[in-house]
Amino acid sequence: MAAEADWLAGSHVFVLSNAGKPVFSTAGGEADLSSLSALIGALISFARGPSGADELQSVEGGGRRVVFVVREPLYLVAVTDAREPAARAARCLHYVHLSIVRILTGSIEKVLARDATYDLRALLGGTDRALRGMVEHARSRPDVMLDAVPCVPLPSATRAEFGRLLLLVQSECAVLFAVLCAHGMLVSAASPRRRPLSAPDLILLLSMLRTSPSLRASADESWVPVCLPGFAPSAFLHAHVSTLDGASDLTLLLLTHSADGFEHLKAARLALGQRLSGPTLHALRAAVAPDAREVDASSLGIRTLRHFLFLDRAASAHVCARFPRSTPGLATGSGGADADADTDTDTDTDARDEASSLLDGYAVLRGELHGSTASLSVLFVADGRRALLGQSGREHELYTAHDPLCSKAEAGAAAQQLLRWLQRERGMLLLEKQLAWPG
Amino acid sequence: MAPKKVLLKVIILGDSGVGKTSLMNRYVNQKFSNQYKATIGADFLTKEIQVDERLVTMQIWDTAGQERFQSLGVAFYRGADSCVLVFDVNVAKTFENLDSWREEFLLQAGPRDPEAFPFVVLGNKVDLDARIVSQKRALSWCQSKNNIPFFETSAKDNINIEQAFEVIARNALAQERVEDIYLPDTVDLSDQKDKQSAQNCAAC
Repeated sequence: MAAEADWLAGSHVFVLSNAGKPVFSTAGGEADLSSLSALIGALISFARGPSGADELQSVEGGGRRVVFVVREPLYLVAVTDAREPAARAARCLHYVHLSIVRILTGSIEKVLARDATYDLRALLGGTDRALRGMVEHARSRPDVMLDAVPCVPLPSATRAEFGRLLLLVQSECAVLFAVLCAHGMLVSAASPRRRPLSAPDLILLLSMLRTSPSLRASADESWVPVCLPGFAPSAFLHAHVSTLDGASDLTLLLLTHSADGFEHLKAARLALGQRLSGPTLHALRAAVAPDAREVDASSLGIRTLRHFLFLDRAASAHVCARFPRSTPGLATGSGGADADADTDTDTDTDARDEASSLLDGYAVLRGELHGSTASLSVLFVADGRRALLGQSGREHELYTAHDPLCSKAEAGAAAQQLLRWLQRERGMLLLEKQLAWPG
Repeated sequence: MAPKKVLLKVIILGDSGVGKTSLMNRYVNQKFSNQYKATIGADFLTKEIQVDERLVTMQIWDTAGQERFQSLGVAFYRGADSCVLVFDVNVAKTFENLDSWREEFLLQAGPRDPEAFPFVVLGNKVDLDARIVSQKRALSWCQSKNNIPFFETSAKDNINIEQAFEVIARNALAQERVEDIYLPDTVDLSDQKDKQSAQNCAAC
């Protein structure tokens, strides 16, 4: 049991089959998890009870929390610090499951139903990176928590031009979906009129690009099977992936249901590439420059505002300000108010910790706003490190971080000012609507 | 693509007190204790072995023999690659109950080919001088159940245990499916709610 204690010490995600066989672990070496997998398998089905109605959600103890998500025939488990909101871990597990479906389709269910002894690791071989990448992304970015994608901020005219280019593809009608993205952010997308790509499917596609270096490295084009659970959970689509412009990382994904659609899609990509004009590319390159692709909250001139996260429900898109490198909290000299004694000199680690901590804070607010019976619409919390305001409306959610001594009224005023700006700049900040194929 | 290490789920079943946990502990940890401690629910241990060229991780599910812990049911048996039936050669009842353990397992696990499922029978505690169940009797039962391999063992004196578990691993490995049963659907657009795009495509 000593080995199992180690597993509870760090931060891990692992997946097992409902037979208690290990499938995947972020720490690698699933086989080392055999005993623990068996134990968890038994635990989950025991908790379920004879009626099968009960589900084990989480277990907490010793400052650690173990979160379970059951997606028959798979059990997903996250081990985290108990201070992290359980909801975030559960969302992460949900997306790890979606990633497995993206890679293998939902027919894993049929496979395990026919043969419960089947070792899924045989099918998942080589995809560790994709699953681990999703876990890391869920930790450091808000996409998974909000079910929303980030978009490259673009002048409206430039975004419209990319849209026009995508619609040209439709003459090759084998194309089901077309997606343009750069640096893991959406530029534009086109889909059938009543079947826009769902946010989870877009998140999976962006994750696939991020975690498959082979797709990016091949200068020319790639052809990969991909399952989009939101569209057709039991089947593969085929994706043609190509880089249109290396300097801006502009990548085109064309998806078709036809396994022999490669030539069609290749032709569509060539036609699109030819029409890509210099000025459009130039605008995109400027937009994805490191200091331009994320909004700097401090540059908006809004008092007390340090960071914000905005969800646009209609667009299923979010705007996440650049995470600050570090937070100057309340003076640390004053009688030990803060537990943050270890000052990290590594600014990257700093920004990552700050991102993670802010997202945790937003997730707690979000949980309260959505979970409360009193149908709260605004929530304000402050501690020594920062003040956080969350508001949830019909069309949006907005989370803002402020200086720690900021009052609720000040934070509210700042958030209103920010909201006006976001609404004014909506067309620049995000893709308001996916384009629909004509006809 | 196949993982180098094969994982085998092995379930140990049998009446309470026949020595299931002792057998597992002897095999995995090379330890034996005379003290009896009833297993609550289940215990899980793993052992890595090499069978010919293959590395095998044995995931051993040691179950509680006492009836009050039998509620784990399906989850317990699901996806087992092998099942070890244990009785105490000194207690007739534990041998007579093998039938119901075997049936219970087949019912709950629902293996694809119950006739060919790899069981192994262990007659344990041969170190004690109070044998009731003869080797002949045990062998004849095993033969009647499609020739289940039979071993007389002692967890205490470490008799036949390595040998038994090696046969367990070999027979379970022999069960490995040859055919690939993974076959995703193809998208049939006529099934999709949006008939529009299907029509568009039919037009080209």
